[in-house]
Amino acid sequence: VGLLLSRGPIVAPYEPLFRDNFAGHVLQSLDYSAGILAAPFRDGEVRGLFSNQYPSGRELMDAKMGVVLAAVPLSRLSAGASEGQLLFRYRRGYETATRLGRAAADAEAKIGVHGVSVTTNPIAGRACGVACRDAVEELFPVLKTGADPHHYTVILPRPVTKDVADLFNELFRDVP
Amino acid sequence: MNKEILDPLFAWVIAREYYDGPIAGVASRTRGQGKIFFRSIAWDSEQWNRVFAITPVQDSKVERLRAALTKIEEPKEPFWLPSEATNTPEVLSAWDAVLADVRKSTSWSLVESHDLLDARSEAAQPADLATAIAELVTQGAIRDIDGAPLLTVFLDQLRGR
Repeated sequence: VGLLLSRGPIVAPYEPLFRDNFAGHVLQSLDYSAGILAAPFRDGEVRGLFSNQYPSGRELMDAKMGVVLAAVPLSRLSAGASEGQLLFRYRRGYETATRLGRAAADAEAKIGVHGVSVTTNPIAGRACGVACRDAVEELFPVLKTGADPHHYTVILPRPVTKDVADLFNELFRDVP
Repeated sequence: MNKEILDPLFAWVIAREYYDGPIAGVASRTRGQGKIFFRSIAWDSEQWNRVFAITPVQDSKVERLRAALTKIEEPKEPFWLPSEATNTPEVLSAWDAVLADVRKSTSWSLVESHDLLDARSEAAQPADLATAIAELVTQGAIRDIDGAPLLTVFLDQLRGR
């Protein structure tokens, strides 16, 4: 992925990470192998900027609540359902190991998997954190659970320690 | 008026919507006292304790739903979260039949609980809040409530206090 970002006069090559928040940056150039997701999800929609839209010069917060969440090759975006998928976790700030452990144990008792809920279709206006599914799956398995097509469960190790909670919280960035 | 009892109110739950616990679905009262539809309309800051609005639905419609689900999955009690494989026309039609009852209902009561299975008491819906509660149910909205007791603070908020 080749992506050049600038804030003011700065122009520098940048290898974007899932966790980066590029709000306020201006896109100077974009390699045609790259794609960018911008998610103004407060209103429940996910809008995007993609390289084939030639977005150079656009400020990366031109949508209502735009936060750039990921830059991944377009080929990967179109390759499969999980590529580029965003997972939303309802929360207000850091979730403790106790909270996550309780929810995971409850899920294990009820639905047979030790994990916590995420959704791909958050309720508009509800406080939440967001992460790319690919990034989550680098650390924790993600399973489709329930009849709701938007509901997934992130499987957590047992017990949920503070280290696990820290990793989980680091993955999910609070929606501004 | 609160009806305090020692035994659990509900014997089993089938969740249609789920997020760290049931959001909406149907349940069976203990001792064969009928079936209900429920929807969470408020929860605490950890989304653990919830206020559920509940209303009676016809036993026959819930039994039809269970029968349709059971053709696809082994039934689970006391808690059943059917999988995506159950989104068949027959099951969706059975859910629609349940929701048809729900849309006509004017008789709601409130239960504070994590998952209904631990519920021990229910409260009649305050008459002055009937419209507000019906709107929350219709919209599928869930109020975030800080403070305890959850149900009391929720009702105070609805009244604008």
